[in-house]
Formats: sequence, structure tokens, C-alpha cells
Amino acid sequence: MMLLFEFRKSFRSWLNFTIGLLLTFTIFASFFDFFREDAALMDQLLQNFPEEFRAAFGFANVNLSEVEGYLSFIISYIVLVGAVYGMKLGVGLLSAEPREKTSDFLLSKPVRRWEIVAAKLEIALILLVAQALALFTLGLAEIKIIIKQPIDVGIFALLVFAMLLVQLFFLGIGSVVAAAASKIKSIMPVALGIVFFFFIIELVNESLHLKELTYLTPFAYFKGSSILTLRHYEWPLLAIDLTIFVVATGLSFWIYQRKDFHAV
Amino acid sequence: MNIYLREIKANFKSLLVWSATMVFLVLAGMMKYSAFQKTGEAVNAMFNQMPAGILAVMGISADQDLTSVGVFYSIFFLYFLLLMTVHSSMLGVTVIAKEERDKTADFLLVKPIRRSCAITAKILAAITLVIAYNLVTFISSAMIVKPFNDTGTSLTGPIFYLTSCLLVIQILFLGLGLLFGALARTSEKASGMATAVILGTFILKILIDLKADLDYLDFLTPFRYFKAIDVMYKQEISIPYVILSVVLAGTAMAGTYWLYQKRDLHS
Repeated sequence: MMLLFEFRKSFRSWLNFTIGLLLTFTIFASFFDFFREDAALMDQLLQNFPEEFRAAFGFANVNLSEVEGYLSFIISYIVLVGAVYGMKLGVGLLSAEPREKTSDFLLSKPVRRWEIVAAKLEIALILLVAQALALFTLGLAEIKIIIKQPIDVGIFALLVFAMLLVQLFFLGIGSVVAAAASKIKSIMPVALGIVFFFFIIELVNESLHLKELTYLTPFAYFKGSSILTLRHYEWPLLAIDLTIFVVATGLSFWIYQRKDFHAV
Repeated sequence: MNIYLREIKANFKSLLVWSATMVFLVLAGMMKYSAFQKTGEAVNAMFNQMPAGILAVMGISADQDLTSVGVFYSIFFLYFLLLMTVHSSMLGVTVIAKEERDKTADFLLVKPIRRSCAITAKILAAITLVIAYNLVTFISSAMIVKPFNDTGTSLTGPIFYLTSCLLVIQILFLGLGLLFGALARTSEKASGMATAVILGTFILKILIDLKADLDYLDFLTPFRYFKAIDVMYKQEISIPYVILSVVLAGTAMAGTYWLYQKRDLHS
């Protein structure tokens, strides 16, 4: 019951974001041919520059004239859009009842509190996995139709599921924030603020080569360029990402169990 | 006046959080300047050997010292834009849509004031907050950059030009947020629309960055209205974009009055 209710409530925004993601991907994909010649030229030019300089002025350190290089570059923006959705889900689900003043209704049902949290997180996981799968299958089709070049499916899968892993990070953070706050009046300002903060840390990290910042922001955990060269995720960073997700969700169970809800 | 003060008070705490984030960002970024300066010297040497045409394509003029604090600081412009577009558009949505969200619309409307007066007070409060955020950025930047500046010429002026450009963009996004707040049925929908605009224009900026031929589309994305280096060093603020932003913001605010006047407020 709870599952079905949450699912119906979240479906519209899931659809909007999934369409948004696909749209972004389509636009980027259809520009590939267009960029390729420029990219090849630029690449030659930039070979002479020191790494730090290229980073500071926002030039990618992958070869944009190849499909995989191009995809690994654009994926960071796909991940940004996806992260906003992950955060929105995380913040939105657990804060829904206090916001809509229906806590007493939900909590008077014959279910345990941890079951409520579990149901909400379960829905979130289903939605996120479905989103990643949709992006993977439809994205692959788009590459076939629009770019018309063979690509390494394994690399593409790694790139798309990097988005899911970043989303898990934000789902965890978001649900802790939602569980800990007594009431969140609107979701998006909180969600966008936090996601953009982490994204800017990544931009700073990229431009200024601040290695220490890599651990601070999930956008640095699964970089397209490193996926391309390693052909797998960087294990320590993957471990950090998943640990944060597990700890954060565990924490939100714990907080929700002890939370004092305001009755209307 | 009461509504004005109430809105300021209601959003003051969030302004503090946003300001702290901004100061942290500038501080953390400037910490890394010395490392950048070192690699920059090698780049400078190389630049002097390059033909001016190639430099022009990259948006750098030949006499520019790439290691200077100013050029380094100009990299932050994008970070400021990202923070400020989120802050101002969400603020715009919130001040308009909060009454219905918090179910206080009937309380507001039984007061002996016109709807338009309430909107005026709310818009003025939002503009005040946006200016305050801008000032925080300007003052903290000027103060933090100062100790790193060893060129002798003050950067306070260039930083002021840059933050003035930011204010134009802030007002534009504030206008959009207000309009969405009045347009959409719920505050969630309104903030969703604002999110779509921010992400959409940001991605368009990335596309144009990749393919310079597309720059005739610049007018569609405020992220490309001003070029930080030109603004700081040539005092070149492109007036057409300032006018476009102000006109768009003005139209959006007029639309906000019009829509709110006719709105059937749920209580």
C-alpha cells in the first residue's frame, strides 16, 4: 500500500526528470558530428599546454573527437541533472508528511516507523535504477541512430551507472537532511543548493587541481576520463561513495525512529 | 512595510547560509593561488611565442598576465553564477508561492491592502535580499583577494564591475522565479520550472563553449552574457545584454502582478 502510494506520488517527477535527462543526452549526442572537427583541431593545439592550464580554462583532458571521449566528457553534465533528481527524491520522501501535515495519519497506521523509511527508500531505489536503465537502453539506441559509430558498450554502461552511484550519494544525504529537519517547507531550494555546492567544489577541484577536494565531492568519484583509461571505477572512491550511502541511510532510519513529529 | 519586514525576516536565515557558502568558496579558491601562479609562469612564456590570432580565438589578449590574481579570480565567475541563479530564482518562487504552500493566503488577503501592494512589498524584499547577497560577494571577494594581490593596482574596481554583472543576472533570475511562483499551481511546480531553466541554460552554455560557431545563441543563456576577463580588464560590460536582462526581469515582474491579481488563491 505504502509502496504503491509513494510510487504514484513520485511518478510524475520521475518522468519529467527522465525525459529531461534523455533530452540533454540527445542534444549532446546530436552535436557530436558538429564538434568533431573543431575538437580534433583544438586537441592538437592544446597538446602543447601544461595540464594545469588546460584544466583551469575548462578544456577536457580527453579526446573529444572520439565517441567514447566525447561521451565521457558530457556525462558529467548528465550526472549533474541526475544528481538533482537523486537529491530531490532523498529530501522529498522523508519530509513529505511533516510538510503536508499528515504525519499523524501516517504514523497511526499499524506499521513500524522503520518500515515506513524502508518503503520510501525502496521506492527511491526502484525509481533511480529504472532511470539509469532507461538512460542506458535509450541512450545506446540514440548513439546507434544519431552518432552511427561503434562504441564500447561496457564503457557506456560504466558511465551511465556512475550517475546512479552519484544519485545514491545524494539520496543518502537528502534523506538524512529530511529526517533531521523538523520541517522542510520546500524541497527544491534545499536540493538544488546542496547539489550545486558539491558541483562547484568539483569545478574548483578540476580547475585548480586540488587533490584533497576529490574526497569531498561525489562528482569527482566517477570521472569520465578515469573510467575511460581504467575501464573500471576507482575502487577506493567507489567504496567511499557506497559507505556514505549506507551510513547516511542507516542514520536516517535511526533519526526517524526517534523523531518527535508534530501532530496537527 | 510589515510584509516587507516579514519577508526579510523569513528569508534572513537562508541568506546567512548562502553567504557563508559564498565566503567559504572564495576563501578556499584563493588558498590555491600560489600553485596556480607557478604553473602559470610557464604558460605565460609560451603565450608570448604564439600568434595573436590563436590567442584571440581563446579569448585571451596577448598582453595579459595569466598568472595575475585578477585572471585567477575571474575563473570564479562561473561558480558565482551557479550559486546566485539558484539563490535568486528559488527566492523569487518562495516569496510568491509561500502563502499558498503554508496555507496562509487567506490570512494575507483579509488584511486591508491590495494584492498589488502585497506583491510590491514581496518583490522589494526579494530585491533587497538579492542585493545583500551581492554585497556579501563583493565585500568578501575584495577583502580576500587583497592580500594575494602583489601587482600594485587595486582589484576592488574590477571586482565591483564583475559583481555588478552578477547583480544583473540575479535580478533576471529573481524575475523568472517570481513569474513561475505566480504562474504555477503549486510551489513545487514553480521551483521545478526554475530548476529546468537553470539546468537548461547551463547546458546550453556548455554546448556553446564547445562549439564557438553557436555564439549567436548567447542571448538564450545568461551564463554567457558577460565574459569575466573582459568585464574586469576592459570594463567591457555588454550593454545589450544588460538591457535584455532588465527588460526580461521587468516583463516577468509585470507578469507576476498580472497573474497574481487574477489568481484564485487556495486557502
